[in-house]
Amino acid sequence: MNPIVEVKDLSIGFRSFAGKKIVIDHLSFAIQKKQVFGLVGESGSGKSVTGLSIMGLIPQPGGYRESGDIFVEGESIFAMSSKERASIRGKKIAMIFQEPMTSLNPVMRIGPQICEVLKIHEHLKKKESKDRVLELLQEVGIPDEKKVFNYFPHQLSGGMRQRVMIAMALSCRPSLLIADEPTTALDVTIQAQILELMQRLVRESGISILFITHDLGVISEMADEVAVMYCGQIIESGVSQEILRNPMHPYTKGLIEARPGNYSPESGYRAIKGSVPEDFSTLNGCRFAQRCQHAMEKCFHSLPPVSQMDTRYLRCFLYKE
Amino acid sequence: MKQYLFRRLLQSVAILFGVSIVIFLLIHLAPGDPFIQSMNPNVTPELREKMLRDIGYYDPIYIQYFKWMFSALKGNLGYSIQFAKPVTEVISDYLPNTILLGSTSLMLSLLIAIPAGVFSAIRRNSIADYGVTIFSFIGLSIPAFFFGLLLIKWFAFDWPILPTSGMVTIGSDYQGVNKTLDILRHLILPTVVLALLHTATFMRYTRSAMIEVLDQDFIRTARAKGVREQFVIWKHAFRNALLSIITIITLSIPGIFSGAVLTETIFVWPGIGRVNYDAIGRRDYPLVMGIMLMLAVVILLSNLLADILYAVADPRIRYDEEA
Repeated sequence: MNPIVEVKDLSIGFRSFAGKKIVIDHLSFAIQKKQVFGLVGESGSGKSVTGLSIMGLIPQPGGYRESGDIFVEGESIFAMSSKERASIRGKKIAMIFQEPMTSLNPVMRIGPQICEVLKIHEHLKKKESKDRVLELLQEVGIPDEKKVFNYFPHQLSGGMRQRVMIAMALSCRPSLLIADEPTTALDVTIQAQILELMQRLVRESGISILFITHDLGVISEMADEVAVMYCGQIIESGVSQEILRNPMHPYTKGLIEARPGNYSPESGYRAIKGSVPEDFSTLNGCRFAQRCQHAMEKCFHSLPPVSQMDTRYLRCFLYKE
Repeated sequence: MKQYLFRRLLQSVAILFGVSIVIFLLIHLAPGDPFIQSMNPNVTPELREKMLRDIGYYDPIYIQYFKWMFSALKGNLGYSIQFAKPVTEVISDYLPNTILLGSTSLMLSLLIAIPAGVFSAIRRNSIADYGVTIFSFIGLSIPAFFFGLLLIKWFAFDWPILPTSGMVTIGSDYQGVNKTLDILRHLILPTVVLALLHTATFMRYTRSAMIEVLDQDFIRTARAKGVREQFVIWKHAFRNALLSIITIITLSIPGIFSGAVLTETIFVWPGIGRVNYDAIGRRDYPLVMGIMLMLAVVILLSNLLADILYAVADPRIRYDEEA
């Protein structure tokens, strides 16, 4: 079965006055149909840039592709013209963001903002698209959809705005939804509602989701597969339940240990010591070596290769098949 | 909104009242006798004193103020000493010329500045952006009188195609379309000089407003929806940048009415700016006060206009409590 999106050996860098800086380093993964793929990592590990790159929206100014490719339903997005890329965005792949408060255009009414997607991709007339949008709003659980249609974004709460974003993302029935920390900015109760909504969508419409988050709890609830990112590389990936139950890479272990649920009065929070290195493109060895309790001599000098163990991929010298 | 407008209008009237007091007092603080030039030097000092007393020159200042204010309320701003005509008549003779020059140059500078500002915001930190920036700094730094003289040298001396002074060709008697064309030809050089400075300011303003908007999340959303870049810029970004561009445009409306002394002087344009300048030099009190009062009204009205436009352009601004 062909994957919906395949990222192959992708490297993304940023140019600035200070020189080049690699933020995504030879990344490879694939998302299958009806799959929820989780991408976990700390801030600055390159999760969001990965999501945007799949949309063909490498952050500007300065972002560029160093190597590798991204295939959407078999077609390389870097081989497309910018017009072709724009015609995929919102139609085949849609994206929702962390900040529902600022992600909607403040001077446009809700309805027209969603209608715009339908106008661009499906050339629907005003009347037809209005009916569709009202259906969509209902589908994502917005009460009083006829009223909300004429609201401006500031008249809605954060949770409602994220629902609007989801409705907008779903309007052309895309095959992949990229959700970049969609619940991070929301209250816990609202968070649960939004996750429930997304699960229902996967069940009912067979959409795939690339779920970007730093919250392992959300991953265990949502994702079929998970990839753990650190400094622009995937250091461990596989079936999410297995990885969460039996993490192997010291970083993954550390992340799971560090969950606030593991707090105890004696030892406090079990945070991973140290912080993400500022510029990691100059490191020769394993990116995690400085913070790793099990680091060996060679971890500092050479990058561990990716090894496969059953369904799991791992980038660590501790485990040799 | 109606209630808000009503409140703002009342406020404006109160402010105008205060402004009129300030104008009146400041003018009367200035030393010197305004009538010294307007009277026949052969008049005896005694007769002179009598005439001054008759027109109220020796009244207490508050009496003078109330006399002036009440007649101003009736639309009578007094007589210009220098022109020997009612002030309102002087203003209505010269103001249209100033408005013509001011509004065409404002229009010209907006036509250039907005596309240029948007362009350099999209390509920020590129060579094209630096080019636009350098041009705008040149525009800001060249003094109007110098640029004006330069244009006169180029287009009237080296390559004589445009008239350099006045509003109509002297001695001509054009009618209808020809008259309009003649005025337009005279309008070109002063318009360009006046527009130069504004263009630079508007361009910088548009650029920074656009850069701020282009960095916002909803622009990313628009791109993620598949909106073409052209529409991302004009429909989503510019529409939002407009909110702050409105400020600078409405703030420059009073400039259209106040006239530009330097430009009007160089090109001998019969505008209100020069009339006002001369009036101050000749202590033509009634005329100066009349022009100042007119400007105060214009400034208050353009501030009101700015507030109304904000509410029209930005749905988050509502002046009424219930919305």
